[in-house]
Amino acid sequence: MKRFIFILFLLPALLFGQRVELFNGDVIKTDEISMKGDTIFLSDTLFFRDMVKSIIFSEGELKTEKRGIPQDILKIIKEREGLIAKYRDFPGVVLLDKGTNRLHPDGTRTYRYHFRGLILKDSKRHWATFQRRFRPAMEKTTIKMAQVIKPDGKVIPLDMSMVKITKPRRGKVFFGKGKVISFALPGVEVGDIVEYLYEKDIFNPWSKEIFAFNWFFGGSDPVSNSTIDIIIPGDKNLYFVLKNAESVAIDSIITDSIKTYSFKVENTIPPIGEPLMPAAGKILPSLYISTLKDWDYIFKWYSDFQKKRMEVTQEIQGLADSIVGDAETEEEKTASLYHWVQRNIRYISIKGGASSGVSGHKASVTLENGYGDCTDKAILFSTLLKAVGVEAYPVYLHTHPSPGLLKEIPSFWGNHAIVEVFPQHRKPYILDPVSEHSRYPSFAQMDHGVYAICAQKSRIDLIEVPPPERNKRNYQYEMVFSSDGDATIKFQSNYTGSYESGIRAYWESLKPDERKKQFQEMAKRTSPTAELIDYSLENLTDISKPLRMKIIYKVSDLLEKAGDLYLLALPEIIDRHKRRELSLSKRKYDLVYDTSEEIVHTFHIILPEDMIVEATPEPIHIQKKFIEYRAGYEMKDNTLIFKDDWKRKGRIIPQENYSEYKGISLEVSRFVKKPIIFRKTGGAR
Amino acid sequence: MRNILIVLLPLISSCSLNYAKKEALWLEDMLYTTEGEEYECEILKIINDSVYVVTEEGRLVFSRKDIKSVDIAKKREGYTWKTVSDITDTLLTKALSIDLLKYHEMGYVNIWTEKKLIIQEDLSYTYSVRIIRGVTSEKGRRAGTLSFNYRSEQEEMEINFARTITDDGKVLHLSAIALEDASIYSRIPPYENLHERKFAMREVKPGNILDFKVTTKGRITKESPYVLDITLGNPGPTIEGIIEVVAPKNLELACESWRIGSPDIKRDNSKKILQWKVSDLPALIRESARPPLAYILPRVVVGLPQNWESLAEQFRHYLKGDYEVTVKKPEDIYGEVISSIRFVDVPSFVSFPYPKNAKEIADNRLANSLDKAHLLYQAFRSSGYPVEIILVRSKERGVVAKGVPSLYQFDGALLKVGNDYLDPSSELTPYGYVRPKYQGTKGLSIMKKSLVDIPLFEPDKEKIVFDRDIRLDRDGNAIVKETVKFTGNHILDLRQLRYLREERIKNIMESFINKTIPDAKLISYSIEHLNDITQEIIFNLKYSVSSLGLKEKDFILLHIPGLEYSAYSVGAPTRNYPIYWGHLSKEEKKIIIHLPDGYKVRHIPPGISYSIESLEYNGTLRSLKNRIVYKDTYIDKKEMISVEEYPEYKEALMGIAMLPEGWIILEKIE
Repeated sequence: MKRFIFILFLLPALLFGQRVELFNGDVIKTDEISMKGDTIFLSDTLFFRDMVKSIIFSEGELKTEKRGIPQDILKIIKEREGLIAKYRDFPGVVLLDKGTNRLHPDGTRTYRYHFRGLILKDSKRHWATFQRRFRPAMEKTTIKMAQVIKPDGKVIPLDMSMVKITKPRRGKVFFGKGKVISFALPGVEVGDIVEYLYEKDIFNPWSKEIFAFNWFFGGSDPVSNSTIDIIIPGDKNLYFVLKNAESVAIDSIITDSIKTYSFKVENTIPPIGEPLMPAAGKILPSLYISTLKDWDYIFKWYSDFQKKRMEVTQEIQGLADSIVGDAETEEEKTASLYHWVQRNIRYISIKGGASSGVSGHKASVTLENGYGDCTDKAILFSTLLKAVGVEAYPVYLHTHPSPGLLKEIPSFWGNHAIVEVFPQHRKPYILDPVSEHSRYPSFAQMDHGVYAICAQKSRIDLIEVPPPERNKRNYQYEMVFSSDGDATIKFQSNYTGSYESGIRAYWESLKPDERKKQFQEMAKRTSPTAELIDYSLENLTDISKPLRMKIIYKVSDLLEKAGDLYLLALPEIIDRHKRRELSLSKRKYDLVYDTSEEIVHTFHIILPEDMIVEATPEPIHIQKKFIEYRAGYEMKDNTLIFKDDWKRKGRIIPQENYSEYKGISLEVSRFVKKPIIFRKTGGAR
Repeated sequence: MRNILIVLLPLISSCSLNYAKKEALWLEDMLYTTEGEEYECEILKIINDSVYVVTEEGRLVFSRKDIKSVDIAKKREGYTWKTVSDITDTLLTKALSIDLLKYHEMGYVNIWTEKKLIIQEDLSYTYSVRIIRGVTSEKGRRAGTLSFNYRSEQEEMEINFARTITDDGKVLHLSAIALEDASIYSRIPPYENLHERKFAMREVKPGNILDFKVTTKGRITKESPYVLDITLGNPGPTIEGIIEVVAPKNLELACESWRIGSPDIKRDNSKKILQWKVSDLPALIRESARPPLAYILPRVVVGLPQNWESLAEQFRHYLKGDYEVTVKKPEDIYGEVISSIRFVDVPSFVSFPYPKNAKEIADNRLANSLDKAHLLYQAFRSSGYPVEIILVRSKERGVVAKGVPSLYQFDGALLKVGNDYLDPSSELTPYGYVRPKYQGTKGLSIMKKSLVDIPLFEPDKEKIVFDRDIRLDRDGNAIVKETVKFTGNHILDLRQLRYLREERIKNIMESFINKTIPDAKLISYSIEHLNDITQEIIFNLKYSVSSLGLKEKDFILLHIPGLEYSAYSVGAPTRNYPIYWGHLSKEEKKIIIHLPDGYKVRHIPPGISYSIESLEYNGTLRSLKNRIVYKDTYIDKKEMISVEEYPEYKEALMGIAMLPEGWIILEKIE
């Protein structure tokens, strides 16, 4: 268990090396660098500034350690045989998944990772290709060893000249300074063991004070041995939380100069995929660590960055005043600025160093560029609110379905930034200006139900999942039947919450001709004989107002004739109550939605003189902890009215409530499928 | 905490004041400190241990040890322009007068598009794209985030300029930090060559004009047989578009074009110019099953005049290296090679147009289509089989330009052994099967030294057959036994089930039956031939369904279970573009509904048949003693259905979609 036998070489890894990166991708190391005018002088050459992309100055002095690599191939081969028998149903098994994360006294750190995996099926041959990201200005990744171990014990080492460093492709809107180191191990076949070990020296961490880290024991493959060693200086303390880790073995060695903690889990089995299951990181055994006891340092670190960026310049003041106009209440001002930032700052993420990484660019810069990412938009929105006297701050969070931030373990690894508003006379609430279509006060559903870190107020708040009525879809139909069975249908819908944002984004993305085609197709989905008469989208581009969709169409075959009886299935409602995520009879894990939900239907069915209602399904009312459904028919004059209302109150249905939830959903689904039966009366009602 | 040395230099002399004022307009360099702070600045000089910069705070001096790195911004063409009045480019000035309101709701409009290839005597080339674009509504904001690809080992790329002219007259230039060069296949080092240069322009808002130019430089060689293969048009309308090729007067060119006519040719003493022009090209419209752009937009292909024969001969020299297999039969040889080499989907025209040595491929155990085909070719040859290697082009890229021979026209390779075509890609591709992307295309046979036709597979080879036997009880509940047979491209994905654990497969089977019939509960299942890639895959399923038939008084009501035909895709009365399927296909269904005791059939919907150029459908529903039998056959007979054929296709689909709507009514026998 205790395998921390290190041979320490306290060597400076890099002595004041400097690197010049050219636009053509070439990287030149140099001991000397100077710049005069448009010319950059290196020790033995010079470049004009138009050829140079960046200069990386001192890479710092990092005390590194080196140790021998155990190479007991025979032992590995022996282990292999047992694993083949044990894991034959899996495409691959990880023999070793070992990390070592060391914090050095000067705040620099070294992360070392050792992988050894046995390929049992073709789908795992991709283990032969390795890729890791790194940021050249702050860290350096070195491949220490990579090899293929054949079943007969033959070892094929990686030709280190085949290791490539490139800049990887990312989404079109992301710009940053990261690169990847990659290689492909040759000759890898099913039955082989792939092994590699790399080391990442982080000589310029974003903050030398913050040492926080997550480790997941296992993943998408079974893991025979997953171990993480954390090594910190003797004067630091380690704070950690383990999740789903009943079987974790913990060990430690404490000396005056260093503290070493080892966490090990053996024989983890990956979860079986289920529809809408929790993120793997929430199911796997996991470790969250930090050397910070509380959030105070992080709060201050963030605040310092944020405050400098939230400067209300003359331009920002003028803009804020012009946007809010004569709005009087805090809420009106907030809403108008919320809508403005969403619509006027397009999403482009540019990350340079720690400050843009964690807190974004200055509000004035984002405004001038007309683009920014979540952090930039959060800074700008908070600053505009500040300009009109509304207290608000950027907050960071980890959106679901990712594993999330733990309140108990201080860390800065959020993946999103939004804004927390602190009104004078009501409780704080959240707005997310990164979207382009959220109508106040709705905000993106990925933020619902997670913790938000507000550095400037030194507080951590749980973002509540909005109630169902704030995620509502309201559908209304008026169906007028003629005596020959044809129907004219007037459809109208409106929405709240994320669903409205999504619908609005979709319709806005279409050109007028495309919209028309889409409406024609929607009508046809109702019935092959449906013909579109008219349609409209109210307030499509004005996100401060509710979006309303109206469609009028004619259908000739909605009623199915069976002798003197006519059957009518209500259009579209069946699809809205189809819940494909409930396909499994049993689940191992919770059912996780993005947010709450409400769906309301109202049908007014106006019958001709010669038709009467023979039968309608009986009314239904179900009320349980997570769900409520109410539906029924009533007759008023010649109009049959159907109303229903489905509410799911939260976003998570616990595994133990799944059967009940599925049962209710199916009952609802069967109910809405039941046709209404009419009878022709020959004219008398 | 901050120990950074920042010295604010007094700006007292008029000279430095003027300088600072002037240079404050150019703060495009970036400086990153070790404390994590960032400065937009201009770097003035780096001397000894100090870095001198101008920021918006004035002139600053940083100690070098406090600086992590600096990014040097490029001074691009026209970088001194600050307002509209500075602009000296007449094309741009003219574009600024366009009335953007006319194009409202289009998102953006391409006012000017110029794609220009210049070839020199030494066969070096410069290809540039310049676009002046007006943003007309909110949805056009994405039009200012752009990316261009190039082959990093053979080409260089430069963003000449990318500027936004705001509606209030400012000129905003591209920020250096909003520009990135990335490798598209960085995950696959042996095939890493294609790069992307992307950039985000500033202030992309309705009313603003975007003007950018990107240039790629390279040289046409045997190893880099460059051809210009481009289209004009995109989601915004194009007011004026031009494709221009400039070459030395005596250099022969080969060209082919589609939907744009012939070029105007001009000559002077030293050069000739080929020009294709379009005006008022409509915006691309989104439509379901829209063909790839190369089939609907104006397309031009230009290269050097070569012949396919000499290219094939040239290629043949690269077929080197022996590879022997341990088996004898063609199917076994194929099986051994296909499963021992991991397939990576990197097109040959963006990595290298010739194959690697067979030994190298075998040693690497990793190959793209071209290299995997080469290794298989050598395996067949060493086993004494006559074998032909055929270079192929994905349909999505448009048809082969027959008159512009170049190996860059192809992205993969097939083999022909006897009468069988082999597509050595993933280990799941069966012997004798060719992926739809290559079916029905033209390829270059290296042995025949000419273009040949790759067969388009008959619908029977791309087929799914459902056989569903349903026993209803008196409450409308059902026990269903079902067999589903898959062939052709359906198998490629399904075969991956063999990599999954039994519990995961069970979950997938549960989802599969629920997709067909909601509320289905799986009783048992088996999958045949999952590991035998020479066979079709068969699902055998047994499941129960509660209330498949809805009980209403003396009736049981149900639709034909599991029919999902819809008229949704033919909602529009007309189409702008053909319907593109990319291959032929067939689906057969046989559904037997056994009646519960004591019930008779009161009503069944009528059957429907259609036989048109693009589609064949025959669906029948018969009531027999104690059971209802539904049978249908649905055949997509064409890869692409033209706009002219659409009305009859639409009518057929609307008719077919009536079937799932129809009710089957069973009535209790008195």
